[in-house]
Amino acid sequence: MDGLVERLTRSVAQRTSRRSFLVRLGQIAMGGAVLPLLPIDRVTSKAGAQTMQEGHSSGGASGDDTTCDYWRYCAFDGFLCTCCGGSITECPAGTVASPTAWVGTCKHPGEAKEYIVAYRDCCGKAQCNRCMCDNNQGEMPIYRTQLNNDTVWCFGSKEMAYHCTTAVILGEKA
Amino acid sequence: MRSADKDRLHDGGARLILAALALLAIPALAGEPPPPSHQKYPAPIQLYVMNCWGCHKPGGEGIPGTVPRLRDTVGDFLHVPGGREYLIEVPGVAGSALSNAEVAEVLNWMLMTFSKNQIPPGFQPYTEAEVAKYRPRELNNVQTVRAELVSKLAAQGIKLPPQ
Ligand code: HEC
Repeated sequence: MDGLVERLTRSVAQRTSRRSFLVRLGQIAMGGAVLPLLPIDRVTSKAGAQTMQEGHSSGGASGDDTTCDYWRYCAFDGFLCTCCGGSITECPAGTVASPTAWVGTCKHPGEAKEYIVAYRDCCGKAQCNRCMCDNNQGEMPIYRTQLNNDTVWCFGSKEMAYHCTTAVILGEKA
Repeated sequence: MRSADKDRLHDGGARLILAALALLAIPALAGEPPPPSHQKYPAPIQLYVMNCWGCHKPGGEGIPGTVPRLRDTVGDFLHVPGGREYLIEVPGVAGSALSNAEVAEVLNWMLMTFSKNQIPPGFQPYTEAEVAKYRPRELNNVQTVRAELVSKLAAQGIKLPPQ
């Protein structure tokens, strides 16, 4: 195993059970900033970037997939690919989908049903910096551990740079 | 496999086997259109999709060099002392959001679906009580423990594929 990848992987896998706790701890300790425990904080310059544009919120469950409160983004953290030249299911040109994904469930506002949603990073270009959304609703106790969304999910791909994230429905929760 | 064991596996495993047949329902990660949004999964598949799929991939193929393969190999661990517990104690399992009963269910499903041919004769499905017992021993030195198991396996002539 390549040394770097191994280190990253092991830190990802071994942190799983403590990660949410640590992230939350980090948030308390640093007043909302994510503690840089992660191999590479996926939104590296969260605190520092002036150029980064926060995603809009339409103030309710929106039907617009370029806004942070679109229902499928209930556990989203990162840049919306829909604002970065890709779509909700497809990576923008010049990036590749990470081999890994993390999975959450979101309730469809109209249908009162829960859907299983895979969040998958598009990697290989510098971060997109448009429509930054950080919706931690999905990080509820039931989805704790490995479903923490502050991890760099590009870890399995050849190119580590994180660009944006897609949200693909995998099915309806039974 | 002794026939009594076979029967036991069969009873407890009827649902597992059905689920295994439905393997094709597991969504692909890449290169294919997403599944229909109203797709529903049998219980153990849903557990796998929601908790393991993102790393171990739809067919348990893993990501070479990053996430170990489960397919055609994970059952090998059951051949050496400590191996059965290891499958509960790895962080991805022990630290998952699942209840103990669900861990047992997903492990049994995983073994039957991905690694049926490696399961030793006399294999007894995991139980909730067993998971409750070993889960608190979540490993923080996986690679060391794994390496020991791999060398015990090698001594028995069982060679694991490269990780
Ligand atoms: C965050 C990614 C991730 C998730 C999610 C995950 N695993 Fe893993 N899994 C790994 C990694 C990486 C390893 C290698 C050991 C280590 O470093 O923890 C591993 C090791 C294993 C092993 C031991 C295999 C071996 O060859 O040593 C088993 C069994 C396993 N995982 C099962 C599961 C099951 C079942 C689930 C769902 C409940 C799951 N994993 C969820 C990443 C993951």
